[in-house]
Amino acid sequence: MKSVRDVALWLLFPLMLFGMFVGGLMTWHHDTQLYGDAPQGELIGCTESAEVNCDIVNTSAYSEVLGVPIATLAIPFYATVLLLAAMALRGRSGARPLIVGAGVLALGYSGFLFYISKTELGYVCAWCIRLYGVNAAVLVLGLIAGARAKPERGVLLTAAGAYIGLLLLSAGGEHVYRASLNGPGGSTAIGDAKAHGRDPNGDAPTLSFTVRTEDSHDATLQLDADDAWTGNKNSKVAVVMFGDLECGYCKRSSAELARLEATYGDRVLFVFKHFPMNPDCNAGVKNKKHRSACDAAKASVCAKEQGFFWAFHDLAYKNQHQLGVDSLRTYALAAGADGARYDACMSNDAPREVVLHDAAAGTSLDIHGTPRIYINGHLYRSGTSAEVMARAIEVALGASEQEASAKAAAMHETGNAATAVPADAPAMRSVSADGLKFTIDTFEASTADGKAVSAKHMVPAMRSSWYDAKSACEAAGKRLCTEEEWVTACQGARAVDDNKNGQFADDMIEGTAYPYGDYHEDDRCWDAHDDSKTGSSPFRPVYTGELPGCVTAAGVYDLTGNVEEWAGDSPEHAVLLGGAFDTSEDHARCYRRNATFGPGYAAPRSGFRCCSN
Amino acid sequence: MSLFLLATAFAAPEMIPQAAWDAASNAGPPASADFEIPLKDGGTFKMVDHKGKQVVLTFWASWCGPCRKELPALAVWAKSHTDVPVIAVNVDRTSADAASFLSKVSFDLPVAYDPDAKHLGQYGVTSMPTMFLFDRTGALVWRHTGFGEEKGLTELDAALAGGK
Repeated sequence: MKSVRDVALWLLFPLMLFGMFVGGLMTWHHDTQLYGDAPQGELIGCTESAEVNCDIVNTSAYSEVLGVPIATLAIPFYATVLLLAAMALRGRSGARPLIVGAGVLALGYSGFLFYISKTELGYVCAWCIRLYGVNAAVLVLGLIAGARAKPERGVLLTAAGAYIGLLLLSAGGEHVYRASLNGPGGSTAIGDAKAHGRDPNGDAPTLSFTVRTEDSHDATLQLDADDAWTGNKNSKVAVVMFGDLECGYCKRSSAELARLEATYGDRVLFVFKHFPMNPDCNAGVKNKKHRSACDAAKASVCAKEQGFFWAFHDLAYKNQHQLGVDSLRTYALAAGADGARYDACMSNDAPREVVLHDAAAGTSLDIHGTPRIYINGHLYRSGTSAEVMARAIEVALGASEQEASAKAAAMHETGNAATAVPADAPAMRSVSADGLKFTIDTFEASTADGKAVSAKHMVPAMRSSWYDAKSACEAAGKRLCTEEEWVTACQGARAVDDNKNGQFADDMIEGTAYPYGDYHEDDRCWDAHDDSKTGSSPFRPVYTGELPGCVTAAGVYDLTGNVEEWAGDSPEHAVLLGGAFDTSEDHARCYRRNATFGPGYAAPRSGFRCCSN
Repeated sequence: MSLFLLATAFAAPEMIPQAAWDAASNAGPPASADFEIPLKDGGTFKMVDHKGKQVVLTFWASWCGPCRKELPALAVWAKSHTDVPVIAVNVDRTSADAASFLSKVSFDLPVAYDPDAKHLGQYGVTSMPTMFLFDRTGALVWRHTGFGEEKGLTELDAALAGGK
C-alpha cells in the first residue's frame, strides 16, 4: 500500500498535466488574440462578466515577460515539478523539499499576478484563478509529500537544468507559433489618424446585422438613426463600437478605429454606441466601475446634438484623466459646441434616455464589458489591433483572403516608422505653434563646466535644482523653457492655460498626450521602468537620444521619461515636467506636472533642457 | 530563442554608467552645516548658536501623512529632551498650508518655512519626512527618512545615545 506521502506525489501528475494544458491554452489564446489574423472570441471556460475577462488579462501589458507570454512560462514550470515528483517517487527524497519551494514561489507569484489583475487591470481571468489553485495544490501536496527531507544538490541542478531547457524550448516554440500566424503582428502603433471636425450631416443608416452573442444567442444589432456615425453612410460594411468614454481599453480601441477610419473612411461606415459601465445610465451593469461614464456619455450626446460628437469623443478620450462635469463642458466647447445650448441639453433627461437606449441594445447582445466592436456583426474584443480589423474589412469589401492579409500587413508597416536618431542632429529645434515661436534643445541637457549642452549620447544632467538649471542654460547663452513652451513642444500644439491659473500642463490637452502620439507605446520613451518595489531597481536613466521613437514631429527627443525636466521663467513658476524613467506610463506624459517642491528641490532624476527666442 | 534574446539585448537603450547614477542618487548633504534659517515667528535659527549641543533638524510638509504624525510625536519627545534643540523646516510651496496644519495640532517647537526648497535641496532631501541629527561639534551624524507609528522616535533616541 502506498504511503500518503507517495499518493500526494502521484496526485501531482494529473495536476501538473492540467497546468501544462492551461499554459498551452492561454498561450494559444494570447498569441491568436494579439498576433493572429482572426481573434478567437471569448476563451472557452472564461465567461466574461463585470469582474472576469480573460481577453483583457491575457493580452494586457503584464501578460508577457521579456516578450514571452507568462502562460508559456508556466509550461516548463509544471513540467519541472512533474520531474521532481517522478524523481521523488524513484527514491530521490531530496526532490520533495524542492517541490515545496516551487509551490511557495508559484503561490507568491500567483498573489502578485492576482494583485495586478485586480488593481491595474480591473478584471481577473478564470483560467488564471484555476492555475492559482494548482499552485496552491503544489505547495500543499509538496508539504504532505515531505518537506523535511534534505534538499539534494544534484536534484536541484537537474531540476534547474531541466527548467532552463524546457523554458527555452517552450519560449522558442511559442515564437515559432507566433511567427506562423497570419496576422501582421501585435503592434498597436498609432498611425496618422486625423482629428475629427464637424460631424457628417444626416442620420445614421438603420442597418441591421445578425449577431451571435457572447452568450451564444442569436440576436440583431440594429443601428438607429440617432447613432453617432462617420465615414461612408452608404457602405454595407459597418464598424460599430459599443464604448464607454471612461474606459481605458475603449480609448485604446478608439485609437485603432481612428487608424481604420483614416484608411477606410471613404468606404466604410463607423458607428459609436454607448455602453457606460455605470448603472446610473446602463441597466445592464451592476457595478459603478466608472463614476464619470454617464456624465461623459450624456455630454457626448449633447455635443452630437450640435454636430460635434466625434470632435468631443476625441477630446474626451485624449483627456480621459479629467472627466468631471466642468472639464466635459470645456471639451464640448472646444469641440465647437455652443455653451448655452450644451447647458440646456445637459439639464434635461433626453441625453440619458439616448444612453439608456444604446446600453439596452448592448445588453440585448449579451455585452458584459467594453469595448465591443462589431464588423458587419462579427465581434472583436478589447486589444484587437487595427491591422486585424483591417483584414476583416478588406474581406467584407470583397478582397480575397490573400489580398486582405497583404493589405493589412502593409497598413502595419506604415504605422511603425521610427528612424535612428541622426548623428548630426542639430542642438536645437525650432518650434512654431499658433503664434508662439521659440527654439528648444533637441536633447535633454547635460552639463560641462557649468554650461548646458544639448547633444546625443551624453549623460543627462541629474540632481539639478531649478536654480542649477537656470544657471547652466544662461551660461550657454540660453534660458530655461517656460512651461508654455515646454508643453507646446511636447504636445505639438500651442498650450493654452484654459483655467487661467498660470499653469499649462494641468488642463485640457491641445495636442498629443505623448511626444509621438496620443497613446502610450512601450519602448518609445524611457519610462515606466519602476522596479523600486524590489528594493534594488536595475533601471536608471539612459544616455540622451537613445530612443529614436521618443521624438516629436519637430525632432525633439526624450521630452517624456528618462529625467524630469525643470521649466518655468521664475522660482514661483518652477515645475518639473514629463516624468522620469520610473514614472508610470499614465504619468510620463506631456502634461505630467510635478510642482510638489520649490525650485531648490534637486532629486537624482531632476534634469532640464534649455530654450531660446 | 537565443537569437531573439540576443537581438533584444542589442536593441536595448544604453543606460548611463551605474557610477554616474550612484553619484546622483547618493549625493549627501554637507557633513557639517553652517545652517541658518529665518523662523516663522521671528528670529533666526543658527546652528552656530547651538555648538556644544546635539541638534535635530527635520523636513516636513503638510500634505505628507507620516509628517502629520511625526510632528506631534516630536513635540512630545522634545519635552523630555529639553537639552536638544529641534528645528522643523516646512517645505510646502504655500506656507499658508503649513500654517493651517500647525493651527490644528499641538506643536510648540521652532518652525521655519522653506517654500523655495533651498534648504531641502542643500540637504539632498527628496522624501518626506527626513530627519537629521547633528552632534555637539555640529557634524551631521544621522539621517532618517519616514516615520512609523510603531517605531516612533526610538531610532532617534538610539542615534542620540550613540552620538557625541
